[in-house]
Amino acid sequence: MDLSAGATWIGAATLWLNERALALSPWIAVNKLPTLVAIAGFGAIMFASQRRARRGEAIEIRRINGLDALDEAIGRATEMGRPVLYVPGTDEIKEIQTIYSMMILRHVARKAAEFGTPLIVPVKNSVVLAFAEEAVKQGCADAGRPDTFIPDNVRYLSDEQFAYCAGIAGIMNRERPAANIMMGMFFAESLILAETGFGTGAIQLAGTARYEQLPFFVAACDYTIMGEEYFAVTAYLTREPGLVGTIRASDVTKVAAMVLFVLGVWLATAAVNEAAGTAAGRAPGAAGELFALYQRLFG
Amino acid sequence: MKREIPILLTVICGLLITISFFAPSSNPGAVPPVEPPVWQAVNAELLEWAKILFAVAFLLGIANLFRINLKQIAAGHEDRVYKAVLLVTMSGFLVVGLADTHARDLPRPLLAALVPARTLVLSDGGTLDGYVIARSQTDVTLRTGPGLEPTVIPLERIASETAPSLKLWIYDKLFIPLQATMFSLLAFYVASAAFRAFRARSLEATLLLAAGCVVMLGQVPIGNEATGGLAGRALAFLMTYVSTAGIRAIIIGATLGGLATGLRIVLGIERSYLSE
Repeated sequence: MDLSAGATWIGAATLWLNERALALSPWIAVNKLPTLVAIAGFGAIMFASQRRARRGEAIEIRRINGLDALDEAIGRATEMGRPVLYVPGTDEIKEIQTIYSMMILRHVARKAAEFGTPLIVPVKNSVVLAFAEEAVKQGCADAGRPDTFIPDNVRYLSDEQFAYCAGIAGIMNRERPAANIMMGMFFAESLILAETGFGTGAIQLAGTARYEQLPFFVAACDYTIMGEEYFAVTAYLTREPGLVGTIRASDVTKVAAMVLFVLGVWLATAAVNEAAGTAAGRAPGAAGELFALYQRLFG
Repeated sequence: MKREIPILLTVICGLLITISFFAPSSNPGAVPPVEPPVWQAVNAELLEWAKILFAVAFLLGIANLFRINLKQIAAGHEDRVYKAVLLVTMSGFLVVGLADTHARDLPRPLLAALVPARTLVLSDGGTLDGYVIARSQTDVTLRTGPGLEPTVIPLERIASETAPSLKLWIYDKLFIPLQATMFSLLAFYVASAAFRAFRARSLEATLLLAAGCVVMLGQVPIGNEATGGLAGRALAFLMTYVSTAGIRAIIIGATLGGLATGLRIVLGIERSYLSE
């Protein structure tokens, strides 16, 4: 494909970008500029989507079986007269998945309080302990039953990964929760927890955005919430327009990313072909320059 | 105010950290000259504050552990012996750790009881056991002998020094083997989970089984050899194209979800993690 017609403006665009980068360099790390632009663009799409959702525009969310099963799992525990176990992962509160897990915990606590079912929350980090106590307390208050909050059921076990894991395995075996909900950041302990829970016959729901642990949860749990689904939990459960708008923004951005990927693949292929043609003696086109510009913008 | 102040702090700290991420770092050769990295200093300071908060919050964890377990021991819980072992072990390790760190300030009886003595090998071949309480450029002051009296030893008399630590001994000899034992259980759990996952009950499960078999054959030399290199090539194809494509899709989706959540929190829109 001949792209030589664009050669003049490509050079001008590259020059213009270099000048702007130099002018901005005292104020911003120029190599992080594409990231800033991407975040600003995503933020703009997110706010626009939220506004549209709040104005009443219907935004459909596909069914997520794992989330539909959440109420069923807590209901099952209620029928069996056994507690629900919620594991918020093993990372610290600075991890976004742990923060999000606290939001899901609040919803789970509300449901458990509505059903009058005890909720056990073992935590690995003492800062997470404070957040988890607040989330459970608030969930009980949301259900209109603050009396169902049992402080001793939010338990700090250990900061050490496998000591924490052993502690949870002990709770699963001794207190026999009927539903195990594992949401957050997990590492090597994921399979130990999921298999121990499977052994006790509990219904198991797991959710994480950490792809390395997903196969273990898929193999050992009844329902698995994976990747982006994990960050859609509160929107799915509450249907709050502001949150649903966020999901739409993610989808729009993904479509934009896909278009950019295809464009990048096309330009890279054209650049390679052009380089081969130049080596064979043909006149160079603009594909190489255009791909360099693409890399400059999005690389 | 209980809700507004934490939200305000979150927004301020979030914006400061974000600005420091995008601010230019110091580069003496930059043209025009770059300002000193003020934002990086702000970022470092905030992270120091976070460390202090984490340390204080650790006490919360210890208090929670003591409160719950003491209550159950007092109520005659069937596992009270294990709970007592937990509390005694934790307290013991805490005491040993503190003694190890503050050996210089301990009274003599406690020092002798809780901290193993260092052994100095002297240049004349003799040895001296004791506790180092001070060091200078020329000598070492040691508490030694039956009365643990301070003794000054010139540095040129010391050939070598060994410093045993009860804290590290407990960690190395008890904690690490226990941790390794828990980790080793994974092998059995992987086997039992794989057994269930690889049952060909549906088309998807059959595909998983086939892919799993190819990957296992391709990973071991004998499998690759037996298939004339086919398993290795199939493994490379599955891992490079199929698996990587899936992983990247998950990463992109999760990153956007995390970004949206982060933006909502930093801008104070998401407040559900706080009580009302």
